[in-house]
Amino acid sequence: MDKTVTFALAKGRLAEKSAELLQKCGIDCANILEPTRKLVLTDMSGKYKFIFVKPSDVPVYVERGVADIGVVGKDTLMEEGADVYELADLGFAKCRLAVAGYPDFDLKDSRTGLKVATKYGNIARNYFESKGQNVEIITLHGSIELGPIVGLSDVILDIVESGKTLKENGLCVLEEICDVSARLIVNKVSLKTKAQDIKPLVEDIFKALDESRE
Amino acid sequence: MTKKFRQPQGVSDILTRQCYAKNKVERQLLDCYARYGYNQIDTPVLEYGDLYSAGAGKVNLNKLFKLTDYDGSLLVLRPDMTMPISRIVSTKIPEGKYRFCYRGKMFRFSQGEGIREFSQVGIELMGAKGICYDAEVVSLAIESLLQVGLDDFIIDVGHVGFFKGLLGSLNLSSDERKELAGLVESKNSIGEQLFAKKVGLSNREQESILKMPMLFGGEEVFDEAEKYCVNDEMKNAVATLKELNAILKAQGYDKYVSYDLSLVGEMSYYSGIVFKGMCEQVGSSILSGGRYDHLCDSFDRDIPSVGFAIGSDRLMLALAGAGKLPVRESRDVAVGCSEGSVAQTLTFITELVRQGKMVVNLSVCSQSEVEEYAKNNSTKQAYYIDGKENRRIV
Repeated sequence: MDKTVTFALAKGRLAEKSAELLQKCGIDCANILEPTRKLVLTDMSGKYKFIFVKPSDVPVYVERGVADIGVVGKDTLMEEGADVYELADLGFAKCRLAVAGYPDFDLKDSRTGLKVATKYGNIARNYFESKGQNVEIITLHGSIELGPIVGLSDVILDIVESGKTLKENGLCVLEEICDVSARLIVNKVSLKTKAQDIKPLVEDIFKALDESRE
Repeated sequence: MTKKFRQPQGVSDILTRQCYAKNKVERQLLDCYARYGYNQIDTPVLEYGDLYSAGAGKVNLNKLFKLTDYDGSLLVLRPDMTMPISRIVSTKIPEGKYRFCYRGKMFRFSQGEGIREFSQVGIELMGAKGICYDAEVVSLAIESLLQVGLDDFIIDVGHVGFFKGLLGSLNLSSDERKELAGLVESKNSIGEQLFAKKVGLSNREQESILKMPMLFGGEEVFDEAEKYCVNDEMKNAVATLKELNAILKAQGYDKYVSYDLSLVGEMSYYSGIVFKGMCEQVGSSILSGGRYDHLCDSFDRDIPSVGFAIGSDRLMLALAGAGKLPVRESRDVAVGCSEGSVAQTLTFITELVRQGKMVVNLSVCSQSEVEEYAKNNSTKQAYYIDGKENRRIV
């Protein structure tokens, strides 16, 4: 049985790294990296279809089954909480989720009403709830670092890659929450209804990941 | 738009074509179950919140539609039929073996995008334990989907004993058990690795857990699964699935079945086999079921049972995707009349209906309108009634 397998990818670095990995697994998909405005592309064999979506939308496409497989940051996955299989840590797009603010800000000192600016509302709520801390969450969609600078919030919760943006704005990491990286997610139905196509592919991906780790 | 025209989130109207198709499919399912000896049962949409707030059938109250009764008691709209039927079997009928089928609307409270009202058709086989009953119910799940015209589907079967057995061999707190169940259910091997490190599992334990996500596929997974059994509970789980597989295979159903040892079952009350029906056209499962031997414990009754429910709205999507949706046939007879012939026309229509015909009444109109209608709707017969005679015009 030969069925089309659809990938949901976010344009940019995640797509590049994903394509690299898929090439190692024998999928000829270099064409998906060529500059184009097309939102739907197929690999050379025509067996694999790639749809390009906003990073935070990848879990939606996969959960609803319009894409069988997706590559998405763990941060997005934690925030969106999709009902999908999270099969592998792809090891790229590594960064950390952290609480950041001015170096002299004492997180422990503000037991009530801590103002947190973030685009990860759900992660922030769960994180501070698990610490028993009462917080006010201010949802932003970009330039989160502005929060403490303009006095909108006390701290921010965001992903930190090198820490450069923080540093340039006089901020630093106050608390690390967890490491995040790109994950391979699979629709719960597709993994079974397209098992003959997807299971070997997943095993190839595991193998390629093991090799690159060695 | 004013509120008058809006609808609450998560509910939807079903218009005639769709309604015809859905009704037909649900009836076909119920007829199939009836022929296999399952009697239809119905329960109220309203239940006390207590039914869902304790014991094995406990449901997160946030996921229920809640109302308050006049005396302050909490009422809920039923989220499933399994609890109400368990209540009936535990409290209203003598001990014994029962086969029930049902159809009805279920309700789930959700914020955001979720569906809040949905239809189910299902069966419950109560008061019976053993592989013969498990096999009967799984076979019927397969056969009933075949009978409504679906043929490209998979029933994915697991056994909670495999995971529970593994849990039993580990020394974990109840929070840790829950965490691990979530990780296994989502095949999250990275999470499992971190978890194993956190709670300090031995290499052998770690290996079994890490292997679970990929223990799915055809009957070949049994040999693989056996390698990771650390106690009798796990071995028995695999043995049960093997037996089930042999029975399904003998009936020629093997191409509709796959196995997944990491199926934990979304309902905490499952105690044996668990299964889900899946179809490529639909992104989530269309059927869900399993064995639940301890659900009636909260009524102080020991009633081992097994059953499943089909989400008929999702089944409709699957059938539509496969081009197998029942289509409403055109009416047999179109009837129109002149002014002053209404009584004669209605009498004539009643005669036709009593003969079993499907009629469309075009009321007072011109003869050419009736001809036109008959042509456009491929109606087999058409009549025009103008006071003196019932004239057949098509």
